[in-house]
Amino acid sequence: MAIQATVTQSGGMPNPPQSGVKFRSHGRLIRFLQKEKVAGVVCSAPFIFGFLMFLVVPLALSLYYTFTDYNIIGEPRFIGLDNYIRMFTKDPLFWQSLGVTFFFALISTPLRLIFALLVALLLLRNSKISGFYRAAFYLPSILGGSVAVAILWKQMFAADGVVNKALGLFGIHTQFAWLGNESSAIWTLIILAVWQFGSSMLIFLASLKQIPSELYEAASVDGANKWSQFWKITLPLLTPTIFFNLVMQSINGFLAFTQCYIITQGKPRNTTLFFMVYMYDESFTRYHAGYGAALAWVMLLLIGIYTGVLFLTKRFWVYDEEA
Amino acid sequence: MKNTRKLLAIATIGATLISMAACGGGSKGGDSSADSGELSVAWWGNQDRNARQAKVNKAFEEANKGVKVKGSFFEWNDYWKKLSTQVAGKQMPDVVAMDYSYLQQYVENGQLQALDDYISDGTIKTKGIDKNVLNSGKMNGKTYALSLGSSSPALIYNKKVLDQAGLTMPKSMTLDEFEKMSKTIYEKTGYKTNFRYYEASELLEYVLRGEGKTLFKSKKLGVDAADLKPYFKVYQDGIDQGWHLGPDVFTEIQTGSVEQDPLVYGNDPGRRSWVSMKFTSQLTALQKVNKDADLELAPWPSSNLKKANYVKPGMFFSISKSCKNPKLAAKYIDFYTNNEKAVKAMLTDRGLPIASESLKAITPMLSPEEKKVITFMNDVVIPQSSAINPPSPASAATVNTQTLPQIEEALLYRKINAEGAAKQFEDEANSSLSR
Repeated sequence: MAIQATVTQSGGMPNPPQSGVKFRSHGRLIRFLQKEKVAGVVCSAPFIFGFLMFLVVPLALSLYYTFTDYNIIGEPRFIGLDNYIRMFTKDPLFWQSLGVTFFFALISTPLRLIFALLVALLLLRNSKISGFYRAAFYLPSILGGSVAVAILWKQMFAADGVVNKALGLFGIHTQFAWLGNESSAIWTLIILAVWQFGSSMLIFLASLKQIPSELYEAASVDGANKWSQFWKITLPLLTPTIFFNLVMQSINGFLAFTQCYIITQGKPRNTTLFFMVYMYDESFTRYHAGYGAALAWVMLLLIGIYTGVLFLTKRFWVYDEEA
Repeated sequence: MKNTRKLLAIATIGATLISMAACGGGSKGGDSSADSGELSVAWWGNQDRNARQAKVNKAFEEANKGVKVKGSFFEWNDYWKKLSTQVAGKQMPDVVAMDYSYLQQYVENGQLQALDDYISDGTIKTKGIDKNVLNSGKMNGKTYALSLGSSSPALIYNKKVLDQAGLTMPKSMTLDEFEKMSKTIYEKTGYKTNFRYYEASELLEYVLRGEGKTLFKSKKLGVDAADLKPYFKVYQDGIDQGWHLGPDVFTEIQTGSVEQDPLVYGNDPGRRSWVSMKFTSQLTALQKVNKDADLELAPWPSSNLKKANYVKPGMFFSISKSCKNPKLAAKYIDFYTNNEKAVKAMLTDRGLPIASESLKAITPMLSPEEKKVITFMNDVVIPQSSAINPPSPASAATVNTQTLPQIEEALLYRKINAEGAAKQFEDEANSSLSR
């Protein structure tokens, strides 16, 4: 399986043999192109070009816009730090959307990982249809971010939607408006996020298969039951994968957009207003693109700090093969 | 091994060249598009309008051989987002639909071309168009936009519900009378009311006009909390007495969309409204969504109909600054306004056609809804109305999309009362307007 490569720790691979292969040269140009340095530059040129054009330039521009009053359709006007001052002192929606986003990311990510791990453990057993199930459970993570599913979700949680009908089958008859209630609305989005557990599940599955079976054999000889095998062997050896998933998935959580934009648009009363949606509205609905850019940079900084802190905690709980 | 590596290198170089060529090709295509007679047109609308506009585009292509019209359409909210990003990317469509509330902003930032040359050389024929209508697209002495039709604010109501409640619609009503009517309807039929929840400030502006006040001055509000309170009081009374739709209903629909307006969308009367505060141009589209509803028009509530009511120079078409072939674009606008085929395709979708000949041409083929609109405009609005407010300042966008909807939301969730709402609106709106 190709995915296994992503979780193998480095150090196991033998160095590739020195390139002893000689090309028959057909001319100067070919010989020039075949020089290792030149080939390297040529081959990476498309990436470098794209990186400069579509990443570095826009990045620099957006940093500049954070210091301007820019309404998109006109020319930006330099205003110094006003955008940042406004954000931290005069904008309650900045704090509100930040709070909502952190709540969403910090709740939905662990839930999703636990769910993914449970399903991965179930699917670990090899049977004829486990392949089908793996594919089936992966599906939501491809579909989950899509507009169609978001619209479906909105219908499901409507007062006369499928969820309330299903509750009716169990004798709970209700017209509860899941999306209209200030405390329940965010949870519909969290459930949607947890449902997209597929990609974390696959990564867990791959690294579960990497755990040497000798360890389990030895443990069962020593009389350890399945439960303590899980806690003492499986989980510790999975920590690098958990760490990887935690970092990637919570970044995804901070940057969540579609769910809020399509399903709730921040309603009710901004209790589901994601930071990215607020940024989008400021930039494109209210034409405050400079302010929007400043919001984006603050989020970048916060994600940077968050990831940095996670990496600092790494040595306390993540298993390191080389240590 | 040898061959694979060689092959890989060649493939990579090939891919690079192709992708670069593709980039080059793309931009070249963009440049030549105007010369080869391609015209991009953008507008906002609903399903009904899009189908009609497509017919106009087709007729224009047939009348001008070699011209290709590329139409694109969005819903109101998305349209302005898309347009602004297109401006930033220097990819603005050649002909763009403009609204009164955005015109000033786009002209001030130099994104539109003046139409005067094309009007004086006869590309855009203005024979039979009212001077006032022409002037509505003028800014700083130049014409930047041509109105596509006029409309007016209209309280669109479901007559079936009123009949069921044993009520008739009066010629005009005050806010108090409106509240009383909503309450009776709720008690007798179960149908609730949607005042103008989570939409822009036109109704608030209208109510204030009735009092002789102006909502937006250039850098601040023209009113204070005491003036604003009656408007917010309607929401408070409505939710307290149970006749206004709960805020949860609006979390399940696309607010502002015609297709999901509670007037025509939904089954349960407790989640439907008997009324929708819209504009005359939306009657046909609303009726199409729900054939069962019997929709009629009346003026919005206010304390003085003549002062409050106005004729709105519907939408406009403008030519963007980046348009490479403005002559063709002007031709298109003229075609839309004066060509019989085009006018017959659009009918009154964007309001009554502005050219008198065009209006004459379509009169025999109008649907009952469109006839209702014409009668309403001629008999109710035009005799009893006054001049429209000047276009609102650009910063009013924050008030319209954020301040007002969110205060209305807080009211319906009973987080504040009308008094608090009025005070909060005054503070927040003034602060956004001064920004």
